[in-house]
Amino acid sequence: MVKDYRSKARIYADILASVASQVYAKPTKIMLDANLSYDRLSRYLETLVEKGLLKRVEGGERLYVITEKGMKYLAEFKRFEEFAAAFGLRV
Amino acid sequence: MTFAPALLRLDVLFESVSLAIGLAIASTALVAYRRVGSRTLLLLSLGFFITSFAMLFRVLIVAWALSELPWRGPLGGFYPISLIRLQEFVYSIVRLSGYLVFLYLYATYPLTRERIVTGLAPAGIGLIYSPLFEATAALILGYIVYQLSRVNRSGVSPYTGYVFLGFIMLLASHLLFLATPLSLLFYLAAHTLQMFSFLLLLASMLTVLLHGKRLQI
Repeated sequence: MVKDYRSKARIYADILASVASQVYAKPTKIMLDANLSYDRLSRYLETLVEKGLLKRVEGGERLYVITEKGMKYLAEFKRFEEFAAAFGLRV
Repeated sequence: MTFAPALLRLDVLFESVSLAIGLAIASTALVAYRRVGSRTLLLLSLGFFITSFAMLFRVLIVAWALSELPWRGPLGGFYPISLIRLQEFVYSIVRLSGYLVFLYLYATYPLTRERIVTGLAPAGIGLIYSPLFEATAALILGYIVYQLSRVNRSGVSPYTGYVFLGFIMLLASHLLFLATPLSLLFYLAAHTLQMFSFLLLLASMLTVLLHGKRLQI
């Protein structure tokens, strides 16, 4: 049985899709949606904030919102995911 | 005597069309890679760039050799023929490298989850002359067609049909190249099929990019 490898691009897209589906996204919900451990999710969230795809909401609770750049990335990912799928490949 | 050069001119034309299509697909996949950072798209682009590079090399050498007609090299008419033979050898190696990239891609990132470990890896070793290149290319493409048939049957992507048909035609073109010693018409038919196979791949890419699903949140 071959392990189903998930690319970094797909993990980014899964996280962004989870955040985009909520008004203010909590890490626990993103963890479930993106199927990631807390440690891995924290690292990815940090990267996505650094890249400007996500924004951390100011205040006490740790909440995230998707930026315009993040939405653009997600849209491009969906588009090119289908492009790869047409070639019988997954991204 | 005049049939072979006329055939070569026609195949240079067909190869040029395939080259342009290959470059268009490779460039689109590269742009896609730069935007989303997926390795699949990078390898897809690399595969098409390598095969396109092989075609470009062939088009330039053969076009040059034809422009030198009547052939008068340092050894009479022998020189351009030797050059074309050498070109065919380099072309086959480069093109096969592109197919090996595709082989890796379809073995590693198929859309359907089950993967099949094949004994194809040693196929790239021990290639000495052209018919073997064609046979190896056909073997690799046979594997890709098999993977695509599974994806196509699963119905995961509605756009796989063109690509599936495109790779079947590419496979058929290599089988026809193998049959070239029987008749030069097979050679011409192979180039025609190759061009149409690339057209189908281009059609698939354009259909997805123009009419594919968009993000809806």
